[in-house]
Amino acid sequence: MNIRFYILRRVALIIPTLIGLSILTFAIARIVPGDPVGLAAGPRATEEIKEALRREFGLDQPLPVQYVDYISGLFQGDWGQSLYTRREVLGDLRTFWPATLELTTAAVIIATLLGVPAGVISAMYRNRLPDHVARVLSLFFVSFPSFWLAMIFQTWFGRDLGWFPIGKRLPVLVAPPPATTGLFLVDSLVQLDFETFAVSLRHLFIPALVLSFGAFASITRITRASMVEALEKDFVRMERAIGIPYRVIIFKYVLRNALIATITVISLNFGWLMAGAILIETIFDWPGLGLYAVHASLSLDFQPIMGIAVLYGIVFSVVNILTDIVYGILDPRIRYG
Amino acid sequence: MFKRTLFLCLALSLLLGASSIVMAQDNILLYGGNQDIDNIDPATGENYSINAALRSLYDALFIYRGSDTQPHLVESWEVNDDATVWTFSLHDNAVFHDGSPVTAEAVVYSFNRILAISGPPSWRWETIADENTAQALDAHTVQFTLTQPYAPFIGTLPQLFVVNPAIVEANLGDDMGQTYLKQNAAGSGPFTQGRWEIGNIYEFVAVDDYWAGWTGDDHLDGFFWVIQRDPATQLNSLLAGETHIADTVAGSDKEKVVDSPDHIWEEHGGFFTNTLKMNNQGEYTSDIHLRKAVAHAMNYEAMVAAQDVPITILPGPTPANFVGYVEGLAYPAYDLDLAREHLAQSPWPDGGITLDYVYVTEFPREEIPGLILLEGLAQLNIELNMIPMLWPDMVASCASPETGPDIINIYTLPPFLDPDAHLYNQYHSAQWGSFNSCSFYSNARVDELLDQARTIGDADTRQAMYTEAQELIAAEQPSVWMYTEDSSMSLNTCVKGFRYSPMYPLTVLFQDMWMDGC
Amino acid sequence: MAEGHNHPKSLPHKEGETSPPTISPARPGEGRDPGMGGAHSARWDNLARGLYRFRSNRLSMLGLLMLLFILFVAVFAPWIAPFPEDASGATNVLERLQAPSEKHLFGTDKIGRDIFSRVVMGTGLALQVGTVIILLATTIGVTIGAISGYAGGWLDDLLMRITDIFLTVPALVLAIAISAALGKGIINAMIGISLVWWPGFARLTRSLVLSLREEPFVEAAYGIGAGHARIIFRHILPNAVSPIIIKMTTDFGFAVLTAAALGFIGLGAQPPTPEWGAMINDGRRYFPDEWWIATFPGLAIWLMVFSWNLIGDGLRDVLDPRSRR
Repeated sequence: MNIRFYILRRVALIIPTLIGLSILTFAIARIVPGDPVGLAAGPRATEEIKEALRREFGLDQPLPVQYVDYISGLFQGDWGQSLYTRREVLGDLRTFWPATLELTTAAVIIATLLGVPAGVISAMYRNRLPDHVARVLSLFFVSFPSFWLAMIFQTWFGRDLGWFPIGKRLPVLVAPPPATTGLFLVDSLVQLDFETFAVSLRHLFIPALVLSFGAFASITRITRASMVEALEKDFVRMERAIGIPYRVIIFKYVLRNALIATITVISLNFGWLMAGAILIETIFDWPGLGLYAVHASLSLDFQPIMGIAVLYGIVFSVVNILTDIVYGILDPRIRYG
Repeated sequence: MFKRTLFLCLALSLLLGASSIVMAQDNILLYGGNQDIDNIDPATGENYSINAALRSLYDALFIYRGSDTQPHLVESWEVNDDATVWTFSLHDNAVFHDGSPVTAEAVVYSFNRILAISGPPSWRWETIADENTAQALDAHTVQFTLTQPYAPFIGTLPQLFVVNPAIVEANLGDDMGQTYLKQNAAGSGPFTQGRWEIGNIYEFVAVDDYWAGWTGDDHLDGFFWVIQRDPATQLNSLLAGETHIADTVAGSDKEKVVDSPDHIWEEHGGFFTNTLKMNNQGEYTSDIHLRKAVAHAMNYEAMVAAQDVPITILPGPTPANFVGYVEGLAYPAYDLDLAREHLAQSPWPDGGITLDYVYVTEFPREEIPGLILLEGLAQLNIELNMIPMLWPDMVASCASPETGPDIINIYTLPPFLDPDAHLYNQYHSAQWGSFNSCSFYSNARVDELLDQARTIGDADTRQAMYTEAQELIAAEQPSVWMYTEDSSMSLNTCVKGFRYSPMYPLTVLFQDMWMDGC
Repeated sequence: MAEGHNHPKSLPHKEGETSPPTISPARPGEGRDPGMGGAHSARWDNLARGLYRFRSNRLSMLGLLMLLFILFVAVFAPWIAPFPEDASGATNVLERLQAPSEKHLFGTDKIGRDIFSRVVMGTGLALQVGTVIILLATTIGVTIGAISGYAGGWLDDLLMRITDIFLTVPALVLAIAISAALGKGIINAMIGISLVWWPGFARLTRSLVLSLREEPFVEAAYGIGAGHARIIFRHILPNAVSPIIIKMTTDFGFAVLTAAALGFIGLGAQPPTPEWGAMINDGRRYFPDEWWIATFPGLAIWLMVFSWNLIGDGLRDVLDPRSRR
């Protein structure tokens, strides 16, 4: 089958899953024991005001009707309105999403830059000291509660050493670069504004580093395992036999083969880290989806939560498809079928 | 080679990047605020951070400066004898940000919009006004004909922010412009909105030729409200000079601010009052002896030590520094023996019951008193069930005596300087259903006194009535009177013009401030 | 971050599995050798060999020792903690915010409670939370996975679609939503986490069952007329046990982490319960000057998670030898 068909079919397959997801989040949102309308109406609201609000938000309709309204809204770009802030959920997601995307991407990059070499070293020195050290280190860091580590790092590097800012994406007085992508690093580069680039990189570094620890272990492990497997392949033995230097073999042949499995894990990690960002953002006042999600869930504001879940679902699915495509490029043996 | 250079550049920029960025700018104040400003609609928003924004973006008929209520949009006013008809003439030079004049019509429009939407700020007027109350007599004269006498009316007017009807009408939507005004100001105030990064940073830009002029020696060019949800972050930024004011520094960190030569710690007694409302119609707490036992089981001294804000124990229903305070009312101290004596006279002489304690979730200042009371009640063999709730759910639980919790922790702030502001909404039985009266207290004589006092102008007669009412209330212990919170604010010494206002304990009046030597 | 890593989705692409998963429509992990199929006696041989290998893995033994220590602390908590009443509501404000000292090894918190006692008393709770989540998730997941793999056909399709839905969103996000909806509290948090944790087990069990179904001894059982239940419980599941146990072990630590994360956000255990995540949240306001309030519960969580990870890592080597050579 041709790759274009393959992609189309994968995209089409997302839709039933997302519909299922929307049913799930909708069900969750409707078992709330508290009174979300009381929240929107404010402390002095009378029963009539609450009734009016219920009507306004369609909460007086039977559940199936509410759901149909919700799902048809999703497709038309109306993701509902926050009961609490009255803002459009889709607009909010647009506002907060780039911050989380930037943080997560940076974390995945750091985790890869740390994890792949660690895995390669592990494989090269299999069952010797460097292997054990890499293994213990990766398990060591992944075992920390991220929010706790974030607090410690913030204090050490931000407050005590003063090397990095304490929080947020930019200093107050620095206006964000004009938004093309919402990613400050990209936007500032587009504007050739290197100063803003540098500052936002400094703000990004510590949160991204802490976040990356969660992915470090699995990337190291998979890289090591696939390197080991690749090293035992016949062609490697042969190339060694004909005298190609070990280093060249490792980097030219083995790593390329090993990377294929690693890429799956990296892409999976992208989704996990996006969730982990929720905790990191609360520590660093990072104005992304995480802060938004925590605030919404603590105030039982379910429209945003549903929106976030659906957005995460879409991103996760898209990342999976992209992974499969990259896969095919790296490994021509795979046929899309 | 290229890679190595790139890496070096990255590392360098990481370490040195920010040093070249200017940290502060002249006369731009950076305010570290604990709370988001998630709504700037005068008809629906009301809390300390929202008020800070509203007072900057809008003008009201009157303004609180320190403890005074001063006319602001109003030039002069008259009131009839029974305090029902109030006539105000407005300054004729007041203009909205779009240049159009602030007229009497706009005042009427704003007032009616607040009543019609009936959001949180409207309760001040709901019982005394209707849609015919406000009338524009001419372009600059507005008259309020109240549905019943109400002597403290002026005290409510600093919250009557005037919106620009033209802008609201242009963005009406189907909710009287609520969606639009939540994020967009339509006012005449000393500042306009600048960079508005939702949930992160809000910029306010000074209006150059503000119609009312500026009261200070100088004025700000603008200020930023920087949301810093973590008090430790607030403190760190303040001490590092990244912000100029921090509004929620923990009491345990006071020394750090005081010890810094560049910073001052402003601390003031306030009227921000904390009480534990006991459900006077409830299964257990309807018993007066049990209520007294609970009041005596509260370790007040321990609470003073444990709260992270400085507090002053309440000597009864009214704070000692508030108008209408009555000296010498018997109020309970922590005394377990006395508590046991009272318990012995209740239907549960040996305890063995469980009381619910409802408080705001994630709010340590309400959690700590609960934990202390839990320990005290345990000595009486009474269990305390700690139930954290969201504020709206707490409010909902106060709707009726049937749903009212046994004990609920409530903060109240009297909205103006009058005994009525403190007593009526908490102890008049007509107020049942609002969170302020979650004790569901009912005493016919108290009701009568509070009603009568509203209609009387003579201060001494009124005070006599309020004294009698408070004596009655104190004897029945409808609530555990806890404390008033002293509010603190940490400022850089270069910030000038800060003036504490007990009516807005945490709300800074930015228009009176300026910077010198930052 | 770490909490993200727990996602059950890690299972289909079981770490260490090196052959690139087949690209759709076949699901990754399908038809994979479970690591130790085969007849009963061979199973015991494998187990014995495995135990030996586990014992010779020093890191895993370290993990086991740490876990034994944690169990010891949990069991004898009331005797170890100098102020066990501090975990259940006692306060002592005169000694609030004290730095670690001989009397208060880990210092005291905002109302003078002994942190050491609260950390010790919270150990049992953390173990319980992990156990309940993992057992619930395993029960649900294995049941669904076994039915799905054994029955095949439309039932398989339906169950796997449902599983996919849960796997589309990171576990933490759904767990937050579910716990928020159920209401705050440690029980609801455990329910919420279990409800998002089972899909990993379902996927794993299904793939194991699929491959075992074709094994000769299962066919033989069919032949002599054994019932479905007997085949599943006597012949298939016992042979699928070791991969499931590996997953239970490695997931245990992450389940504890996730529960702590909910406690930290404020959705988990409520005061005065000595739950470690909530204690960190408590101490956050006082960090870094009163660093001990948040630091020690954090280290306790780390110790717990680290020990389970070491054990899980060792078990994986032992029971799934392909992953480590």
